[in-house]
Amino acid sequence: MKWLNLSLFFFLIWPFNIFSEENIPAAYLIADQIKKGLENQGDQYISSLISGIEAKEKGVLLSQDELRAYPLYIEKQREFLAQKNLREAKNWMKRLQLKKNVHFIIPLKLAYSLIKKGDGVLLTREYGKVFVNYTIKKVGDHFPETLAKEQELDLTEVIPGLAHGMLSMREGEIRTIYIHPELGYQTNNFDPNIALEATVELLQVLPCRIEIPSLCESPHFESPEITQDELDQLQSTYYYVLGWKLWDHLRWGHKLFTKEDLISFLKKDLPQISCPEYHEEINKIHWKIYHQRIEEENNTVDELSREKSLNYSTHTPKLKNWLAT
Amino acid sequence: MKYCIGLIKNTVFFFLFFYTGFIQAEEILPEWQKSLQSLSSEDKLCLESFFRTMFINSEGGFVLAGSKPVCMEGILSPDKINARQIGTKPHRRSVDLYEGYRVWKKHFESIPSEKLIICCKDHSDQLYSDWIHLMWINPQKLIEVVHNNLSVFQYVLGPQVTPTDFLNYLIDPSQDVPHDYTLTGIFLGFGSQNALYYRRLELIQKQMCSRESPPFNFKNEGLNIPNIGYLGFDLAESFDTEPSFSYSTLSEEYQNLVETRISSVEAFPFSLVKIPLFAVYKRDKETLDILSRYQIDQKMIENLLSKPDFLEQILKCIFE
Repeated sequence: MKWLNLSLFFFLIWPFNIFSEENIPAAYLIADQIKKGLENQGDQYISSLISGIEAKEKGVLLSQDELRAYPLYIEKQREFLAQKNLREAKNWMKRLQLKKNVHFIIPLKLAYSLIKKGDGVLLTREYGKVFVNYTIKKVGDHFPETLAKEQELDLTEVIPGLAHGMLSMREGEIRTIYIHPELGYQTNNFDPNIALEATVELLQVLPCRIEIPSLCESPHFESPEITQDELDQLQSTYYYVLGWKLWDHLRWGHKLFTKEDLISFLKKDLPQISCPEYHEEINKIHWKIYHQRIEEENNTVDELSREKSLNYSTHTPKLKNWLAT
Repeated sequence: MKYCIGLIKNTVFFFLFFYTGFIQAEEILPEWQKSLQSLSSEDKLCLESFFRTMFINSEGGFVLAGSKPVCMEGILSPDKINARQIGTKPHRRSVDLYEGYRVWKKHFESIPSEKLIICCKDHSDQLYSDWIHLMWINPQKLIEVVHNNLSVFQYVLGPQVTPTDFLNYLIDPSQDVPHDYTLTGIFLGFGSQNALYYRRLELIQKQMCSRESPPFNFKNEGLNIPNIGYLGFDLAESFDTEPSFSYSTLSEEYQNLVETRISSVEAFPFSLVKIPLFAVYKRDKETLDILSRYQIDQKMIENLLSKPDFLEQILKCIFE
């Protein structure tokens, strides 16, 4: 009976032992960390990553183009988004053309619809300082990007779409202005080529003579169309390079796991580890890898720093001269 | 009988002599040495690597030596590591610091030191969400520097703040690192005047990098600083600043700040340990004092690094 109880006890605790911290292989933890740190975990990309690992193991070198894959991918991704937004903006403008209450100031570029009529002073190009209430949102967004109440605006300091969209408004008028990205932020530090919708209430035209500049032709850059396939291909190349670089570091962990172990865990769809306790464990694995590398390369921790210091020594001692004077 | 009594006396004497000696030896051994002795060889290596990283690749040595109040290092948040970061220099440094801090926390954190407090924030930074901050603080030097610039600290943090309050705030793991550029420059030991100038440069750069703020014109156009282009800060909050007193445009101010700054490390010849890097704008007494203290401490740190028993020497420096 006693033996039976004991066997039952061990049988019950066995699954917990199997999955206890100590039994999770290093390759599993590393594969899990890599996967969690990928923007895209699709099979195609994992395969590219694995090809990169294999290539590094075989001693294949990376080409200049491959080394530039990541910045190029980011650049193209943004261009792709810019093109997509521009297409949407064009379609939006076309749809607006069909609406009866929308009046175009510049065909397919700038339009408005009247919400409330005003009967006060007329806003002209010569008097560009106003008091307004406004709400501005990106096309397709429900929440405003920005809003203000009783704000003084110098219309020479705002995007041309808003300034020219407001011309001919009267005090007390409310209108919604539809702005094509060419008259908005184009591809600057904003969602590239996003169209804007501004609802403005003109409270007062100030008696200051400030002339709103006329619209000039904005430079038009026609970049070649980027397809989704091209973008996917670029991402695959970037994942290949990533795999190559990862193995350049992880191969020093040969005492902890093999390349085959790592690849097999990368291929498997295993449950992800989310316990914070594993962070310490993973960090320890990386620490061992880095120190194995130092040991094997007979390197020192400070070598990089020394190299840097050597570079500094070639600088002109500008501060020294400056202090002496 | 006499012989027996003599034997007992001798035994008691020897017992008392050696036992009390043993007890005394136990008492004399400082706590940090006991902790050091209890470390496994791997933990010793971790800790040594941690100190070397902080001394060579960071400015920790100057904090311990007493010329720099605080030094901060970023550790990549373990739960937010991007696969692209694995194997890079920042990752390697993070791994070293994380591991070293783990050993420090377990074995040495509870031992009081007047010269050094090592603390780590328990959360990602509000501004740089992929990083957690590791701080080395020299409490005496920090209190001195805050005391000397108390009005500036009170102007930013409120009139009731005291140097000790600020120290307690910094060492609290749950608090974020203060994000005021001037205060940061001062408590990092760059001098108050240099911090005030550099703050302006950082504010203008922040405006350049931040998101456009509708309905206003492109920031680049307003700043008129060439070759900025897309900086990848679409998600950064939009931010605007006005030109400083005596400048009519931000561009003019920016150019002047860039042209007149000089790097602190340029003054000194090649060495393994660089003096703390900051932009020197003012040739005032405070800056000259700071630079000469750094230069003196630089030699001391290099000397410490060359010791064969580096780890023991460092711990001795911290706790004695």
